[in-house]
Amino acid sequence: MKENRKLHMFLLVLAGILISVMLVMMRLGGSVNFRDFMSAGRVYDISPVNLQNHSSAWKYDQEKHGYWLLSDKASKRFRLDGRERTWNHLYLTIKETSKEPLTGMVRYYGKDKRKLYQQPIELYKGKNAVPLDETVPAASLAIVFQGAQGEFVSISEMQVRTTPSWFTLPHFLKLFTAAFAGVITVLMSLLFLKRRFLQRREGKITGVLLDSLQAEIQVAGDFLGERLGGRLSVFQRESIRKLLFSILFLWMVIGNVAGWLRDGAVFRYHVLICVLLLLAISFISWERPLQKQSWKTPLMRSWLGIWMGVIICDLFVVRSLEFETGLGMLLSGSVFIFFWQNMEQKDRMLKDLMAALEITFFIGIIYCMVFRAKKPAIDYNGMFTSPEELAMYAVLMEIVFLTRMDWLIARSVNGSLERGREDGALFFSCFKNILGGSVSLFLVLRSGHTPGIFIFALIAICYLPGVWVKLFHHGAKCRKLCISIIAAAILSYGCTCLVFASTKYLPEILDLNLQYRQELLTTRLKGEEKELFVQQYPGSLQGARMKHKDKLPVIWRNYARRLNLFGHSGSLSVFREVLPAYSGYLDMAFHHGIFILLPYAAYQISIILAGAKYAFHRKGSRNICMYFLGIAYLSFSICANVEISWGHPMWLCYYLSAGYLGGDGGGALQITKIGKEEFN
Amino acid sequence: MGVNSGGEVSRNLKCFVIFMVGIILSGIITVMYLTESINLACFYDVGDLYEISSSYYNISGENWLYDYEKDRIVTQEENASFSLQMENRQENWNYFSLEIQNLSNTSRGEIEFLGKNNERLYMIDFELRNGRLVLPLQKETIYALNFIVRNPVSFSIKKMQFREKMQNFEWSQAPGVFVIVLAFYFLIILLILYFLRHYIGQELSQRKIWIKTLQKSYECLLEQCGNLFQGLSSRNRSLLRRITFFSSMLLLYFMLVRGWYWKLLVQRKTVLLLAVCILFVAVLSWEKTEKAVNWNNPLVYAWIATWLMCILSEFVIEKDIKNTGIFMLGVMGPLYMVWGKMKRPERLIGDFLAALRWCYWISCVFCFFFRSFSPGIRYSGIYTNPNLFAGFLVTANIAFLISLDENLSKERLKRHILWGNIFGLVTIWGFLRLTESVTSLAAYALEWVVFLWKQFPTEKKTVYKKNLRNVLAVSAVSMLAVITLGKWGLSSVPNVLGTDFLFHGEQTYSITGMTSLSLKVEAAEQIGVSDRLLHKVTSGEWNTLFGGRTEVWKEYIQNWNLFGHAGHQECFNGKKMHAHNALLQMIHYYGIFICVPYLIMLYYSLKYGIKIIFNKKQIRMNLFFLLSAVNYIVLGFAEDVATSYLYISWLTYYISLGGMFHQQKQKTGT
Repeated sequence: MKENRKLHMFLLVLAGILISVMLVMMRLGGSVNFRDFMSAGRVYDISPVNLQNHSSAWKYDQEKHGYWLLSDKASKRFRLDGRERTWNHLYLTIKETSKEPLTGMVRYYGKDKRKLYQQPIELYKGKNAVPLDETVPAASLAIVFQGAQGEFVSISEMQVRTTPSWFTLPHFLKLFTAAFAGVITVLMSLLFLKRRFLQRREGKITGVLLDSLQAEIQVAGDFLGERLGGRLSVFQRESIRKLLFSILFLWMVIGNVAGWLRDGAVFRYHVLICVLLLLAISFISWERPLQKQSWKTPLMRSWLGIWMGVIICDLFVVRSLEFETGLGMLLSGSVFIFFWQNMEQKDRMLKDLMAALEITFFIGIIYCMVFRAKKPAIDYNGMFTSPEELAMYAVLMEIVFLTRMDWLIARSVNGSLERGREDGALFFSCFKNILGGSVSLFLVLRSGHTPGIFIFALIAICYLPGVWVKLFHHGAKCRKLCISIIAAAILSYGCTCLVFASTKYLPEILDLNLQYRQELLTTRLKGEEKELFVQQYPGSLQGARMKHKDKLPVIWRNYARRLNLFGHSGSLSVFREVLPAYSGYLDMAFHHGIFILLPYAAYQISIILAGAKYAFHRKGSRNICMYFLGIAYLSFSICANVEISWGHPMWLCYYLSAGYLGGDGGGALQITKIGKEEFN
Repeated sequence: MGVNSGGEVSRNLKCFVIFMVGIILSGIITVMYLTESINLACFYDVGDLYEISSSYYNISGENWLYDYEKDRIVTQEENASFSLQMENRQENWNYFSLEIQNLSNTSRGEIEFLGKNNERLYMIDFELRNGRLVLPLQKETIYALNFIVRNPVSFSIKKMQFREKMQNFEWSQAPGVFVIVLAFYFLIILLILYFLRHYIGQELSQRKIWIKTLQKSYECLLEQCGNLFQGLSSRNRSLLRRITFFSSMLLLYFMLVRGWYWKLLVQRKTVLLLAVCILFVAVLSWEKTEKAVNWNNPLVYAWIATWLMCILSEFVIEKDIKNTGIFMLGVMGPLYMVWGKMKRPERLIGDFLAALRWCYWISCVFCFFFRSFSPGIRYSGIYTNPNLFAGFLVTANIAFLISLDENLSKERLKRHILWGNIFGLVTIWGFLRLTESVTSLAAYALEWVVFLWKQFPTEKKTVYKKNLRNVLAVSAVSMLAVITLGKWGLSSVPNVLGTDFLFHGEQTYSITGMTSLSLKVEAAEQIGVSDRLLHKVTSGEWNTLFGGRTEVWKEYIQNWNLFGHAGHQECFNGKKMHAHNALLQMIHYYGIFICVPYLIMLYYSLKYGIKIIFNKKQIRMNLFFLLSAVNYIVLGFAEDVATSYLYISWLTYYISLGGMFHQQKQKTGT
């Protein structure tokens, strides 16, 4: 209860923040506009890469992060959003300049590069607002500095827009503080009034809704479950579950790779298959008549809140993909979670899920070795379409293999490993997990995705010291295990080297290398380094893009600028191309409205809190899987496109984990019960 | 067709379903064979086709005469011609097909194809002869054509088409192919049945369990939510129900009149609101009784099958009007469950009919003050089209007829009820006359037939006769008031007050006499309209008899497919139009196979409607079920009542279905 109260307080504060942000944005936008809080009009941000490119008279200094102006009339042209149209304001932030003011011109160019108009400007250090001629449509603008030969100027930001920008950080913070104080006061008063007068009624309605949902699942679930799962033995059930989970994960990855996630016409069929598979797994897992579960927990409420929110937004915004995502998850996810919560031994489901992940992982590795070559200087995408997705997958698999190892070590420490049990089985188990972990490490490093590498390392750092300490303390009990681990590690090293070599050469040798149509190829090389590389290997960087690292703040700002109450369809066009949000939070808020962040954040915290309970359980029956999954997902949410609906195993595992952690049983603390099967 | 003693599906019904599926499958295969194209998105795949309506060329001009008696075109001078503007179908057509009959003597003909500014693009010269003439066209966008006949001749044009592909088959081949395919189908069915019987033995019927599970799921939902309103008195419940039904009707009305069904977001919100209203009524009416509800009957199966097919179709083809299947199974289902469980289901009917009467009276006031009647123009009332208004009137008539039926045998018939009822019935008749809608008049007449039919078998008491006399007297007075004051008021009040207005996009339809049909009146305006229409009705011309609907039906039938279409079909120069027939509309929306459960549903709703009237355990207001079914089916013959969320007759029918879902098991004697 105390934890719930803390969570409620957190939600109250978060709601206060979101409402305040909404109010401040509308204040800055100058109107009450729920469709676009900022009422920002058209805005185009010049890419930071463009602000670092040379021109004939502007030479970029990498060390000083600015330009040296080489001629008396130094000009540099900046392409705008690709269309010839009018703009009203130019905002130029000058970080540093050797001369103040810098005088010059803004020139307007048409689509055919002809000069249309020019106007004089004076620029100072700091943010400069230049009113543009709103009657002259321009496809690009040029800044021309006059009489500034040998001068230095560093431009950190450049933006054109149709409405004025009132946003500055101090101004925003000042407004936000006032708004937050007011909103929190109002919310507290409302909460007080609600508790005083409406508490019983509200609780009743929510309870009825949750109970109704469960009752429906119960009726249909018992009916179908009895006919499917009720007729199977435990072994059959587990085998079918593994098979179906494996098919589901493979199907999701195939859908992602084939681009079905972005195609409105195909997506619903893709989701339908996923939903059917998930429902089949649920019904297969029926063991006994279903019992009502406590869904009034923050975890389940936030889970339902997310998907109900996604669906409700569809009443206000015409979208093509989001509704299917929400409906699919609400229908099949809630059934699956309910069934999982009803299982006598929840670990069995988790074990099968992990087994399916392992199977698909090794299939994926073989696929990569044969069909997916690593190109020089280009980050590796593995079986996915972007390095980011591969990094997420590697982190997920790291968690799976660490959990497996943790269970093995725990049982070894507890002495519950069968005496006389074949050493081969123990060794094989160690080998599989260590190999999986090392290949995951290899993949995450190959992906070159910095946040992914960081998260991978974070999880390893959080886990490994504790294990070493444990092994050190119980060395005598775990001697056999330690020997197996060392041997497995040596062999895994060799195997990982094999994977390394294969992904580098084998697809080319066999001439089986595959490249996807919508693949994102990224490279770290830039500037002269890149030019040199291209000279050395012509055509090798074809289609490869620079990493968005520098551009991220601008992308985030673009998405934040468009926040509204009920969300948008599709993605935003930034720097003349449609780019995802590169943040789970912004992505959710952009697509489903700002208030979806309430259940979203609550779910993330609930998962970590509930996962922590199992991770730090002292009686040897701990489970680190959900805890690390929660941490990994939250970390990816900050700076990666983690919301790959029905297209990534991590996404599915994360949202289904409520089945393990929620419900009456409060999760399964019966790791030891798995017993002998763990080796197999 | 029917049910056996246990209320289960009889062998006849199964045979009917197998037969219907066979007919449909054979039809599909025959058409595909003839057109040499396997296309599940359009079985009759003959490319794009623009059939010029006969009303465009069966006309009289300067030297081009149309003989109505002989159904012939007569050209009296040399170089007689007629012109045709291709309003919205300017495309690059490949062929021009002309079918001529009864040509009196040979002559040469020419067709000039005209461009945007009526400039001549090119001309084709040909010899007029009986039969089909196919003229290949040049790659130009045609905007109009000019048909010239060189010598004076007489002939009739059977068909005039622009085509994308040439028709390379004759319909005379169709019956042979059809019969062969059907024979094969039956052979396969017999084989399957044989194998089933031989190897599997008795048929494993899971139907009962499925239906019970469905019922259980509805019960669960209602039980969970029903507790919320336990404290309400029955009076308050009744009031709330009426208000909710009334709101639902208002939603339907605005959906149609304001065109909300075209605006996706507004449509979604309205449908959600409607669902909330219906679910609210269901929850409000939920009574936790021990009464066993038996849904094991063909009506329920047909209903479930219809909407499951609808869900499948909606999944495959994105519809303009969405979520009908889910609405029916998820929202109407619980309401139907409530029907079965209620101790006094007539209360639900009573509240629904009361809401319908409210709607009617409000619309009367609205019409009286805001919608003037102009002589010569068909009256549209609260809608934008007289047929829609007439449909509403006929549905409202049910409420008044049932009320009259209920009150005729009462010892003390309250005056205000008597006056209200009679005045309602009389005004409905008055309005209906002004709308001039034949379909609605037919439905209206049938409703009265049903009403009168129900009056005869019952034993008449003295009080009944006394009430009947009162009714007749009041009717006479009301009739007089409506004919004199009503018509005058309707023509004058809105004009005097200056409150008369037209809805956005409203079209006016001219009155063409009592036998006028609504759809293509404008076509008839070109000559002496009443005479021509009267003549056509008596001469048995289908196309004119149904007011041009046959052309719409033809267009719809040509586009039948497996999973249906997104929205209305383009007919008449590219204008989108509803099917003017409920069955065709359902087939168009949800695919050809929906007609099987849909027809079964209609049949059983009629059958059970009659059965309820003669049931020993009579419930009050039992006339409601039959009247709603009759109203829906008759209106559905020539109007669209199948499109969801638009028509009050649609709501009335689907509400009334719930009362027929629960069929008591007949006890079988040994």
